[in-house]
Amino acid sequence: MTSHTKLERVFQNVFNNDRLLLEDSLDPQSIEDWDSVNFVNLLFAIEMEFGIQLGEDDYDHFENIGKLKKRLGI
Amino acid sequence: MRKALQAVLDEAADYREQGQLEKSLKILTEHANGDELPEPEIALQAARVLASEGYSTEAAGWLRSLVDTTEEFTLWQAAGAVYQDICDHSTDEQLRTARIAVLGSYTITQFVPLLKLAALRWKVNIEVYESGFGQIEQEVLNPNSGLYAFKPDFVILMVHAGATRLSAYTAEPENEIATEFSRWQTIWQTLIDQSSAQILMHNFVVPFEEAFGNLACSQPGTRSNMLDVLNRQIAERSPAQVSILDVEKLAANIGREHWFNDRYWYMSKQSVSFPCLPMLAKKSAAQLSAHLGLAKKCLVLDLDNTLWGGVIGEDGLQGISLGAGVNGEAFVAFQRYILALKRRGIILAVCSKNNEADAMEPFNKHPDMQLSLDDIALFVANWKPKPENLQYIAQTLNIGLDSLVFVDDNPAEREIVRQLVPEVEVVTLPKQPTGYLRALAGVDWFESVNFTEEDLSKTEKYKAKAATEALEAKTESIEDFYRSLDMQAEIAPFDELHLPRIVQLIGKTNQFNLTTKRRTQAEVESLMQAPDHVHFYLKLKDRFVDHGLVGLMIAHRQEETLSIDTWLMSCRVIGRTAENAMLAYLGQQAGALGCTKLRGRYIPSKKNKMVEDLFAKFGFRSIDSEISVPEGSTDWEYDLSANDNFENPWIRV
Repeated sequence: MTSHTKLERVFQNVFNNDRLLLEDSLDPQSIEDWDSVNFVNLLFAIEMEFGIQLGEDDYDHFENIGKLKKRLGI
Repeated sequence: MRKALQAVLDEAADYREQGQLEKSLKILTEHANGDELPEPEIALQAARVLASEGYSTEAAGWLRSLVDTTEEFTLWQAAGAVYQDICDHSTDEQLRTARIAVLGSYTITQFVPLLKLAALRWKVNIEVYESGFGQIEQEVLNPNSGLYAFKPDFVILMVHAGATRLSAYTAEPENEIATEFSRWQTIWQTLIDQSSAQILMHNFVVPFEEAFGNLACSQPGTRSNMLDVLNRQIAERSPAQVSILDVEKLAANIGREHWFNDRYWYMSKQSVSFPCLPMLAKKSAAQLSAHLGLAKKCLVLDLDNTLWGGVIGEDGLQGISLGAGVNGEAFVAFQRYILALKRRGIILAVCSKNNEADAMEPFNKHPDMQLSLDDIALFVANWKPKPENLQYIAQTLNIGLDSLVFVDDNPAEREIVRQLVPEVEVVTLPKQPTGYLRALAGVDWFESVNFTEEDLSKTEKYKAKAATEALEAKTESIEDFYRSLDMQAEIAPFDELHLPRIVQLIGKTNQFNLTTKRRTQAEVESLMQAPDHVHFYLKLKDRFVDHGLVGLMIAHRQEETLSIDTWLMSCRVIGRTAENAMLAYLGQQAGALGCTKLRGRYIPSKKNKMVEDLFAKFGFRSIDSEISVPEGSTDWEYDLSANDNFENPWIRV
């Protein structure tokens, strides 16, 4: 499984929507159910899946998927 | 070869993408059938597909199995979301309902869907009222709060140590503890006065950090120590409407290092780290279910390789493993734990495929047995299918099938029970006996809400009940079970390679052995050379286990008659119709040799009563015996020219 697919699965699980596809331009505003709770859930799921820790400085990278992927080195 | 999990998930996702839901589901189900319990990723995906099509009941079934096979947070969370989509839809399944108010001193948003999922495992559909974080007093002390409008059956107080007002150190610990205790007393009393809810109170988990280090435990004024005392007071002095969930113990079992994750506390006020939430949800649901009267009452135990190592009917009293050695010690510890369960009010029953006299022998004579016959409310040892016996046990003890928990080392027995009596809970024992105790101690089915004098004498009560009730055992069809085992046999003439095992089986098989003729290796070798003998072995494997070489037959040919000299089978495959496969094969061989008659003889021994009717069962007719046969023997004949060959519908050869 590619890292892109991994990330996609993470989003699909957190937002309970397995038709959610990750385009680089996708941003929080266009994801239904994006709220502070799901943001924490997403953070945790990404940390687990990619074996990293995301600090406060990293939150800017969630502006859109392209930026996030860059941070994750995908 | 079996496909890898990821490949199956991908393929199922592709089919789903194309709208081919049935195909998607089929792939998942096929993969799941290869395991005793489906892998949680498979269960999640199957539940998703079914939920999206509105099959709520079926989806719920998969979600329940996920709860049993994983404690991984992300899977639970995803499953919780799927359940959220279907729990409001009417399902044709009968679910209990309960109204739960969850009040947290920390963020419980992630916890609540997991609690719902864990309650679904108990077939309880809970409706939840969720307070904002840190709103316990505001909700409880205000009679007009949403909490009271919700009219809860249960109120769960999810608290963490940071919610107390205890100092890091004080010179007056008694005062601080008394003040804190009275604060919680007020909360309980107000809840009791204002509602009829049962209160489930979490106790406080002592934090990871402690400035006093090891000294803390001997300094009454440290926060660690004060929390310990407070927990004890809550346990001992809270009113009857309050039950304690011992979260401190749970956190200690898991490890504080894992229990707390400071980053997530700062980020979103999570006092319990995400990976520990599924466990907390499980424990909470078990406690809730105990209050709803859903806890299990009776532990049903297999004997051979479950309470001791080996097979009593084959290995004898000296041959079983109990007391000495690694496994022997583990079996003793396992029995001691079972005994402790019995002493706190769990009823014990035995359900074993054995002759009753053999099965009871260790209880009466083995010095290392911890359980005695007096501890067993109902002792069932026979050769009937276990589902049938479990129904008998439930009826005789006059409790529901859903009050039974079944413990058996054999995955095939566990499978047949899951299939034919799904109400019964099954403990999945690991392969090694050293892991049995932990597996049983890890299940949450025996939570109880109180402990009374009556619990101490429960076994005696149920024993009396069992003795007075006359019952007929109900029969269940087991064809589905045979089919699902997917059994495959290899049958071939004796050869050098298999000779040691053949000789071993001839030497030690007692129970399924028609003639109990023992032969040395040399005797078997010379028989293999003799042209007037038919001989073959049977190897059997099923979905779960490769049993190896487990049966054999030797027959002697005289003109048109083929006489069965030896027919035996290892007890581990009894009740699988392997005897049909062997007899059908012999029938074919007879036909190929131009024989028209089969003859068989049963020679009784101390141990082989289970096969005395075997020839009759297959339609052989009784004939007069020769004069020289051993006493009690019976002779049988089957006319192949006038009858069909024997049927073997369940095993592929």
